[in-house]
Amino acid sequence: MKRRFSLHHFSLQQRLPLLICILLLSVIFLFSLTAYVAVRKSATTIGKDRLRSLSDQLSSMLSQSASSQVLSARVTAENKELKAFLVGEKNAADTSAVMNSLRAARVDSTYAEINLVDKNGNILLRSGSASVSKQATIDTLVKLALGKDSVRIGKLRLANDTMFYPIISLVRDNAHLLGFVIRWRVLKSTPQANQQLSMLLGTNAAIYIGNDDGSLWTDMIKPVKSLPVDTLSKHEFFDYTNHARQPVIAAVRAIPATRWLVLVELSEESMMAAAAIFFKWVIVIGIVFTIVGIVTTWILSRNITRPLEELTAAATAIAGGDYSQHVPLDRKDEIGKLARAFNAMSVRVVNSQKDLEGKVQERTERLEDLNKELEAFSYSVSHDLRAPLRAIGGYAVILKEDYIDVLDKEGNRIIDRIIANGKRMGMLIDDLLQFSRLGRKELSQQSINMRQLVEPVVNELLHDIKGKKPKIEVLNIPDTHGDATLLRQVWENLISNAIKYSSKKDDAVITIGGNTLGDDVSYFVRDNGVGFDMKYYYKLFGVFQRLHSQESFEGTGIGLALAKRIIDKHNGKLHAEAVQGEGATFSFTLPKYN
Amino acid sequence: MDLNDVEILLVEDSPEDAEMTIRTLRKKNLANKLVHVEDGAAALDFLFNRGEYAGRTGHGRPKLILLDIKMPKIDGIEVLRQVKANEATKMIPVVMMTSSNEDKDIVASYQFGVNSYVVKPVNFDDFSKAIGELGLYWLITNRGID
Repeated sequence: MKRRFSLHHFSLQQRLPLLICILLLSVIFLFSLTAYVAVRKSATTIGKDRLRSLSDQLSSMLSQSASSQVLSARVTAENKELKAFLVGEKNAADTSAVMNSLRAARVDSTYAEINLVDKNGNILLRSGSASVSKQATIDTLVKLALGKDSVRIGKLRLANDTMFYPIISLVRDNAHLLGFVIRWRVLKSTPQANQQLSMLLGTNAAIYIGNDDGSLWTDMIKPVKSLPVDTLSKHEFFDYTNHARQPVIAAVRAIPATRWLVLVELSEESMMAAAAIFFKWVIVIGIVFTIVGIVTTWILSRNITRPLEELTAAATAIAGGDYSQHVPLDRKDEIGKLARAFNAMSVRVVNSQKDLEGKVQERTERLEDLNKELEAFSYSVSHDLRAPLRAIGGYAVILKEDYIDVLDKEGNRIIDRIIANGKRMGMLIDDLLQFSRLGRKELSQQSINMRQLVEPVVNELLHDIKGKKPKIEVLNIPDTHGDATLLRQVWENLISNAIKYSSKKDDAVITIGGNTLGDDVSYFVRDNGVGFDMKYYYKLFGVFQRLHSQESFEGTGIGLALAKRIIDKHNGKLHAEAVQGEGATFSFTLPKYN
Repeated sequence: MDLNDVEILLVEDSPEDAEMTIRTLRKKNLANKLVHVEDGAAALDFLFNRGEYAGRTGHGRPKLILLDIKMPKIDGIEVLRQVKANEATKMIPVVMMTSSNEDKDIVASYQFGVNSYVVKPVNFDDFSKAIGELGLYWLITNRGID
């Protein structure tokens, strides 16, 4: 069977800390989550601000550098010899002078090549070698440069692992386009310069420069794989995973006067470092809080449940009959109140128990006294009645004997009635005496072989019958414990009753038997005699109560009362069932052991 | 009647019981030498020749004492005790003739050496039968000391 989780499975002692633990954990969890989210948000904001300002700074820095290059390019484009060369005849002397000025414009090794191009895009002169100055490239550049600013920095191009970028300046004579000067410069930053830059940026930041169409990206030392940034989108920030597989946030800026973009990358981890530290601390503090909370509530609940346990133990002891319980709890709180009430109650219980015991004792003694008095009274009454009764009977006999000649027939009849009633009263008194003596008699306990007890009774009673004898069957009779003399009396009364009340039947049958029922043994005497009306059952076992007239069946009516009293004394039960005219069954049960 | 030649001493406070007892014994011809006293004190006076019976000589002690228990002055048990405690009288058979069926009386009687204990039947027929048998037994059937 599934056991559903429920707080009721836990003791009070466990329940309180558990509840506090759950409460603390949920509060700490909610608080941490909210705080963490807020801290993260603010960290992101701070990070993005930093990115924005960094990228702005870089963009303007690079833009300045571009401007200075543009400026120097414009100076070259204003060269008169160069203009003259583009306009006039191209002789050898001019060519060499122009070449010289072109060479002079290549101030350092980063200026890999300078091309002089006519307005149709044909390369006229070439100084240096950058291996990117293909005619097709030049054509594209020229086409783009037409109608734009006089000087322009073009897209980065890769050739033989070297990155070049063109600085295109238009050569004009007044407003008239003569041609172009295209400088090819190598993009190469030194590791020192990069280090300085990263110091400026701070750790975990990276800078990339790329073309505005996203065609080439570089970390300014070497080309890098293309970055997952949509250069055409208006978004300011981009989230992606960088080459080192770290989640990053990047800001992209166009560099004015160029076709370049600058991208600053900041790892999310570094941005969230503060949030992560905060989170760690929150967890640590949360755990500490939870532990402190659990320990405190454990102690608290122990403080409550321990006295409760003491009270429970005391109450259990009282329930078990030990009334000397006192719970020593000197507290001012509710538990103290409970303990005081409990102690007061236990004192009262003890007192009322004593009172009760005393009263029971007193009443029992009184009852016993009364009972003794009653027994003594009934005994002495029946005893004291004997002497005068004997005298009445005796003198009647004497009268009859001595004055038989004097008395007439009626006188004799009256004397006979006196004698007969005297006899009957004598019998009643003897029965009453026997009955009252039984009340005072101590019961003896011995094991009894019932068959040996019953069979002699049956034989004696059969022997005493003068007329037709009934058929008496003795079936199985279990043994028992009890007072043999008294139980013999019971059998005698029941069997003699059965004989008496079936004496008028032609085929009188009396059955005697018994069986064992658990801890009881039961016996019965059944006859097919006249029976009795169950309506008068309540009178059956009363002293001197008779359900038949003296004329039809003789008797004083003491037999069943006596039998019942004996069975009662054995803690047994005597009962009867009968159908008028068909017979009666008297049965009694006795406990196997008294 | 010669008080020095008594066969039965009947100690009985009930005149009716006494009369019926005497009548029964007389019918058996056993009551010729019977003395009836009505209480224990008189019985002891008679047996020990004191008071009213001071002139009696000790030789004529009865062959049988029929003793009731419940009597005024000194009761039957006390009479029995004194009779059985005295060398001169302790050989006399004493029969308790009483209405008492109480165990304590029976036990006390036997403890003091009663020779027989008879509960008087309430029925007169049974009563006279018992008295008759008892008189015959103790005076005729039983062999006592002369």
